Amino acid sequence: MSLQSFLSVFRRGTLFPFSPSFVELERVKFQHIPQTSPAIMAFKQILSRALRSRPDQILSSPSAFSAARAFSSAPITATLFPGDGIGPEIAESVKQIFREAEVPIEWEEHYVGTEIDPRTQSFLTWESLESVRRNRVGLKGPMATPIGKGHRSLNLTLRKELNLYANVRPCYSLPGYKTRYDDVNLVTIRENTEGEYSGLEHQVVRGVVESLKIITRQASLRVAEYAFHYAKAHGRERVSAIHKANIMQKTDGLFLKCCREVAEKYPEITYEEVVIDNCCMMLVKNPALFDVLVMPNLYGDIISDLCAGLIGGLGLTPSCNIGEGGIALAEAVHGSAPDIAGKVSSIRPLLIFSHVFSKS
Amino acid sequence: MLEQMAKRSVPLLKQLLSSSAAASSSCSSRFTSHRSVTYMPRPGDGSPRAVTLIPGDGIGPLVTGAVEQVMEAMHAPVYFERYDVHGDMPKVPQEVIDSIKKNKVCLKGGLATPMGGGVSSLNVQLRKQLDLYASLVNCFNLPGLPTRHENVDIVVIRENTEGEYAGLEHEVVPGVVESLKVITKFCSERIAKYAFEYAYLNNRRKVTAVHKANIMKLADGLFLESCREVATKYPGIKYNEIIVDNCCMQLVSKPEQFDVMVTPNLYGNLVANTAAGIAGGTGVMPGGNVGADHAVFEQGASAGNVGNEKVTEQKKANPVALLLSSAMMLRHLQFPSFADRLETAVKHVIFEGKHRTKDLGGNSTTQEVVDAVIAALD
Repeated sequence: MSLQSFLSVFRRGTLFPFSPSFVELERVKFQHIPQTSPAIMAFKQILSRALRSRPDQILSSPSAFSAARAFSSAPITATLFPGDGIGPEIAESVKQIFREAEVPIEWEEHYVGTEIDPRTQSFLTWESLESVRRNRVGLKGPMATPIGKGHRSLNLTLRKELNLYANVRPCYSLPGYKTRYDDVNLVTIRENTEGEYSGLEHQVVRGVVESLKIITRQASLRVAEYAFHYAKAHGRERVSAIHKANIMQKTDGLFLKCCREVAEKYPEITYEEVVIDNCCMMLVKNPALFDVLVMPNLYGDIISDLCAGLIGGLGLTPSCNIGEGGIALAEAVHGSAPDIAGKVSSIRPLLIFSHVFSKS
Repeated sequence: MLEQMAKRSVPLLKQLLSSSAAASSSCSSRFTSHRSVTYMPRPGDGSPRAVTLIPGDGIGPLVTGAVEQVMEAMHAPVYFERYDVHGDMPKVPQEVIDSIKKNKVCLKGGLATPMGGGVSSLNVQLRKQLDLYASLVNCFNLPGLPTRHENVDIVVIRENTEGEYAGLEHEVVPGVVESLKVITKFCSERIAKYAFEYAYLNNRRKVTAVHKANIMKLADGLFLESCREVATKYPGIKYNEIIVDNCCMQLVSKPEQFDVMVTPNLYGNLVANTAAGIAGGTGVMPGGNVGADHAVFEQGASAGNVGNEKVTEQKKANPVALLLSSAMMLRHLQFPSFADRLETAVKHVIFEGKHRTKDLGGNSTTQEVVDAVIAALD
């Protein structure tokens, strides 16, 4: 996938508006980088949000170095979790690209420990979580949860401790990568804390299992607020709430009620409600019909993966988790791929270097 | 001796080639079935069978009317007992249930479901009362209908009675609502048995179980356990499992890897709609609900979809789904040759492409499509 396409993705939508000169810098620097990772894409979004608050003294110029010197902002500290499997290699390439672009980021790396930290009840240490809370911006590589060790999964720990309530996944058709769908341009916002994934299951009698799906007003309002705020900040025109309230009347009915309340506060954004089976069908027939989608946990999981499939797979999808207090943790949604770890070519960083130097 | 064999076989080959050339010269001949299969009925099978007909709401009356017309034109040995049921009734009238119990087969259009409170869906109620535990949607590429995906031939078998759609919800405190998802071994086992039996009887190679057992370990774990147990009894059929979000992604990128899919209730809804969407839309996919004693045939995938008022007013609803479902119904009633004729005619009309409704990219009304199908019946 060419970097042109990556940049067009970047330009089309980020979490928050960004300064155009930053994009100029990127384009000049990275004309021919052959590959990049979705982690970078996700992180760019957070970075732009951080940089937006900096004074805009950057001059748009063809020379990358002079533009870099004009960056007068203090470096931002960000937490980096390289993860497992191919994680460290991808994290390394992210760091290199950012270093060459002279992006003012200082990485604080944290690794998954080998024994359970009693304060967090998982392999992640208290220091790691504290650093994310302090820096408010983080990047996470794929983490493999060891199976059967009888503790919380790592992703679940992060989510619960940092109160990450919304998962945002922008899905755009990348111009350089041909799939069957060319006009995908939507964002899925998924409630991340409750719903069907509360994990509350029990066996009533032998052969009968009950699983609880919980929807609360507070969580639904929170994610609906974020969805409309995102839509407004990015100039999106429509927000669609996805539900199955014709069958699950009280639970999805409550979710819809909360969405409607928030929709009234944003009269300039069109709000519609779509039943999930219609939504699935419309997505595979004509994905251009949708703009921003907001949904509870389970539907969000399935729909966001379906949208990832439309644009070419999990390897190309950026994703970001938003937490209370403005914490943003970008992540790579793919797995750790232990079978190809170590085989990822080490030629790649060399390519990056060689092209950068050839341009300067 | 080889030379003699060659000499004898040359005229035979010539004959075969000429006959196949003649057969492929006109496209219509491709669709008139030169069947070598003869269906042998029992004496008395030709007497007309009663079928309950529920027109339903919205586009329902249009498309069921289409089916009635085609059945009459074919002189199929079925007659319909019409019952008016609308989505806003509190429950399905007892006479309708009695009629279905007597006839054992029902054909229905969609019933609209009011949203957000009050009455629970009549579609779901009907399924629960008649214990129609398997819902089947057959998604396949129709020749002549352009879609983004080729080689799609998926049957989605979905558990229809329990799971997330049990309807057991309550408000714990104001602002917190709980919904119970119930999975039982009994229901999971019978749906798995149905799926494997379907695959066995219809010469299908693979059954895939769709689940989310990495998160819902006990509930979907129980479903998977039942599927695995049944799979051991059918060694000739391959069995594998796939997580539902990965499944949706694969459906969108590589649908040819799926054959028969067995799923619990909610995932089945999503997967069936996605599969129907990639194969041409819910307007063309047949489906039905079947239980131990009764069967209800309706449009595949979203049965609750009654279209919007514009489509109803302009009479441009797509009757293909219900026509193909009624072909499935004819086979269920053991009238296979009528079913073959109906399916051939419908596929011929789609292939020609002259009469297509709006959702397939054309501009015909329902009546025009029906007339074309009747004309194509041989």
